[in-house]
Amino acid sequence: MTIFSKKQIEVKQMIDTYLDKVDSCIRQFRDSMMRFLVNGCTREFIWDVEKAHKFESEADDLRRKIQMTLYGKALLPDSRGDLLTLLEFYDRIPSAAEDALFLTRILCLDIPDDLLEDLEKLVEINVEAYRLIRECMNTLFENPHETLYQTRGVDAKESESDRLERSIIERVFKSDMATGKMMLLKELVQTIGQISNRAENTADRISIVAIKRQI
Amino acid sequence: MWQIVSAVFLGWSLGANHTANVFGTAVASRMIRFWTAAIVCAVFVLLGALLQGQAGMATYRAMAGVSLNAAFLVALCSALTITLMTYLKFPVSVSQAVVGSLVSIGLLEGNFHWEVLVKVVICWVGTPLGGMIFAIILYFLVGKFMNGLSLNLFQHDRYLRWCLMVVGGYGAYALGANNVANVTGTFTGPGMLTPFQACLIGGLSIGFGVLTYGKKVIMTVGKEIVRLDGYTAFIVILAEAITVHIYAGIGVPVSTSQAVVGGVMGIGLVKGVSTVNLKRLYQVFYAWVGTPAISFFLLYLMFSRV
Repeated sequence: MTIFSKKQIEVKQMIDTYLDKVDSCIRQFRDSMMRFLVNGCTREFIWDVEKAHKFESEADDLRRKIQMTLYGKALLPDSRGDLLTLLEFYDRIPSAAEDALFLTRILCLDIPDDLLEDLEKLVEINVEAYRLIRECMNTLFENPHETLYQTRGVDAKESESDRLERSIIERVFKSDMATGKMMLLKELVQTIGQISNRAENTADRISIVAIKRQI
Repeated sequence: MWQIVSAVFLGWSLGANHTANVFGTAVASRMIRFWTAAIVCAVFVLLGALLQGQAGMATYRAMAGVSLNAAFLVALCSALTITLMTYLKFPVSVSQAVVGSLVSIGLLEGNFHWEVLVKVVICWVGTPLGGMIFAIILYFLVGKFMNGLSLNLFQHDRYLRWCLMVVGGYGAYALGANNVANVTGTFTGPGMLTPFQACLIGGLSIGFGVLTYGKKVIMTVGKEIVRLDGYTAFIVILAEAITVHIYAGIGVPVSTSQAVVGGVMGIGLVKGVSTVNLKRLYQVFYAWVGTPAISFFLLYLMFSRV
């Protein structure tokens, strides 16, 4: 006899599909941002943004389906509450990626050459923060106690992103570009940085779920 | 033997009121369907009554040997006390109601044995204490074992669900073993029921109460225990079951609700939080004093009019 009930297997499968969808969204975010930083606001980039939006909204639909199944008493009330809150936090990460892409698309900024490398680096750091939180999610469903060590990595990435964001913003405001453009660039940088911020918030939730299961 | 009707009524109300103490968490949080819990509970109550229910009956016989009509009055007054108190939403304990009636009839008929009452009262006080001590010990022991298993989120949930089911069955067994004496214990005198017959009728009537009226009570009483998380609820029910089972062996019917209060207090001590307020402690104290007093006077009034 399996140690999981039918409903638990159903929930686990839905969560796996949901996490894969978020993976696709973040991958699309990375590819799109790189395409933008290299080629600017092209038709392909706009098409990429639409694809990312499609992944994000599919993930959103899946999360709602998981919510409904969980409200249908698939788990103990305590585990149910933990999982629902955790998914709510996790879902804010693809939303941040989508927000960053949307902002990039509507601003269609001409990025100064000296900032390109750092912006690419900022995107990579934030995608890396997501990759680490994804690993934490996998571990949570395997061995929750292990996640307590893993979440520290997410925290480190968030700090790295923060430092780079500040450095980019400082350089923007020291440059001779128009004030309006400065403000828009600052907003874009901070919106990208939201991915690691939200990954860190999710890491905190994961730690709470793991600690609660330590007796 | 029409007099047994009052015992069946008492058994029915006991079954209806006490299912929540063993399956409250599992059913109120909808982890286990009510009917699954009710059937498991009814079967294990009957098993407990048949296999280990006779010791409590011997204690009641030793406390006051009563006639068939007196046994009828004891069961009737206890059942009426419980019904009245439940209606007035006052806390109530079946064991304490039965003892109140037994003391009354014993004194009226002049064959009451105080030394047995002392033993019973000591066990009453020991019930919440036992629940508390077992909860503290089990919290650490079972916790160490579960931590060692390194379970994931879903496994943890699934094991806990099974634990609650198993401990619910054990709790039902202990309830049957300990409390069947309350139902038919006074009917086991000479010329009345044999201990086996008494256990069978008592067990069946408790089971009948579980099946016919347990759901309504389980959804209200159970929600109070649900406020604990799954693990602590499991520990509280296990502590309660062990405590009540031990008293079944000693042969003193005790209150399962008071064992639960003790267990919840134990969890509070371990976690350093206040889990039981003064109102709950007052309720336990009231059940020790108020319930037997009411059934005592109720029987006294009835007996003097017969």
